[in-house]
Amino acid sequence: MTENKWIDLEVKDNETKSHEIGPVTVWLKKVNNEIWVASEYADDVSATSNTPEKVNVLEWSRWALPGNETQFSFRPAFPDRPVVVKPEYPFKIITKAKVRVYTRIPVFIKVVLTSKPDFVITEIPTVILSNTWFGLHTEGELCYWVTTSARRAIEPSDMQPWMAVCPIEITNKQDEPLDFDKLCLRVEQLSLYKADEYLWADETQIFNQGREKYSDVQMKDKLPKEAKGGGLITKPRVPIKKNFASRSFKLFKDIRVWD
Amino acid sequence: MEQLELIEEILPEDYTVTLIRVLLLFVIGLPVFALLRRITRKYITRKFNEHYGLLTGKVVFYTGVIIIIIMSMHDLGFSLAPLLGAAGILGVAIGFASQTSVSNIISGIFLIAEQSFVIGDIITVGGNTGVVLSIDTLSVKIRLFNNQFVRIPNETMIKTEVINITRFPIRRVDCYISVAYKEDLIRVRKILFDVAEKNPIALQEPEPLMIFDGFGSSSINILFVAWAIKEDFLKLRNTLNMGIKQRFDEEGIEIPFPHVSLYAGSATDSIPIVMSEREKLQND
Repeated sequence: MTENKWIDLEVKDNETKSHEIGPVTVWLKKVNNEIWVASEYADDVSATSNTPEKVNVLEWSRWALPGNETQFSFRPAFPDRPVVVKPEYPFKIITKAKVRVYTRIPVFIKVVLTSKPDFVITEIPTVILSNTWFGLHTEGELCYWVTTSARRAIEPSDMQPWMAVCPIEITNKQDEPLDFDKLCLRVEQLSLYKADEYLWADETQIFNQGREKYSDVQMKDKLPKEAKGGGLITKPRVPIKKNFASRSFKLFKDIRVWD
Repeated sequence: MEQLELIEEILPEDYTVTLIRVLLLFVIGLPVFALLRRITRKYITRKFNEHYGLLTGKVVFYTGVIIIIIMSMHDLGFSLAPLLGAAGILGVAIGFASQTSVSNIISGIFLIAEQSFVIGDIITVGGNTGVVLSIDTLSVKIRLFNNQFVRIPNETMIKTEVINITRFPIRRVDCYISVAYKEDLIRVRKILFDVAEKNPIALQEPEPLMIFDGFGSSSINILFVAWAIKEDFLKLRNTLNMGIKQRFDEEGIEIPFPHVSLYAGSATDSIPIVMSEREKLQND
């Protein structure tokens, strides 16, 4: 059993408190009717030791509050853009085969008012994700980039309280093997569940129809079977389209990088 | 009061009423058409784009102004037939005299139809780079980044090469780098890719690329490219080049300055250097 990272925190006037979630430490400071928020990453070379003077060197952002609020909560949320997932070792899915893979996505921390959970003060990524472009040079969409092991089975040692495990089921319906070298995961349409202090996403099913066709994508919108006893903690950012056609597998062979 | 009496003497009563009516036509008509222009512009901008909105708004407003003028002249008792006849003759004369303007108007129509750029795009024309403010009947107006205003006739725009910098959503940042001949290029390549990977603004796809640019007189020249969304272009150019310089300094990779090696020729030994006493003392 791991420690609960998604806690409520009381910050009184002129008080400064910090809370560590994975590689990021979030600082909250109450000044008059404002809440000041700062964050620091463990791998930041400019990070200083945890001393009282530290609060003076942090980069604070100020937020005016609707009332004299003292209770704040940390809640997980999926990144605000789709995530392109690249397996460390690409693999092929043969014709008509169905595979289930697990990928871990670092979540964002939503700092909210405990009394009004919909009142989001700010969002802080637990890991600063790189950007990537999904599409052609002339059109496409900005996504985050995550390299994953694309595990076929999830072990307890793989779990982290700040990483959401996304089960993905891929069915290759085309007549040739499918190269799974990149996958665009529409995380903004996924819910987050918490089971034993670990985060899970609902299952995504992808039916690959062929190279030139869009894949059918289904969000199951229910607790995955691996997360028994868990409960919904965060709703999707955008309403779930239970079944939609989407280009999920990147076909960068079609794109000339050097013009 | 005396002035009013004077006007009454000069102008007959029905003519005063006509004048008031004409005045009201302008006072009410112009704001109404200005309002219509604003509504049309907003609607078309929302439905299509800002440029079409601006154009349609102008058409609505100026059509309204012409209608008001014609109605006013009719009310004031001017017969429009001789006026139109005179306008025809005048039109021919003006047409000959304003060939450039006509050419600009036609070029403007082509510019709008072709849509090589729209309002808000950043373009380069004849060495000037700036934001397109408007595409008007006669000219294209551009705001340069030093906040200067440039007006380019439509005819010139049609004839000149125009580079639209913000047409596509992503842009490439080119970093021209020189390293000393003694450096291991495989290590340099690894460092460059690592710098790009750790820069969150640099896109992972399309992948960054290192291109060997040639053996220079004092250095090996490399072109390293990475991509960013168009909004982050300048940010990436700064952070990427600064990151490369910082990493090169940390890793001890030399960015050479132009230098010249002197040889006395194959028949002789190296050029002898004699150190003065003062230099010796300084070195000690």
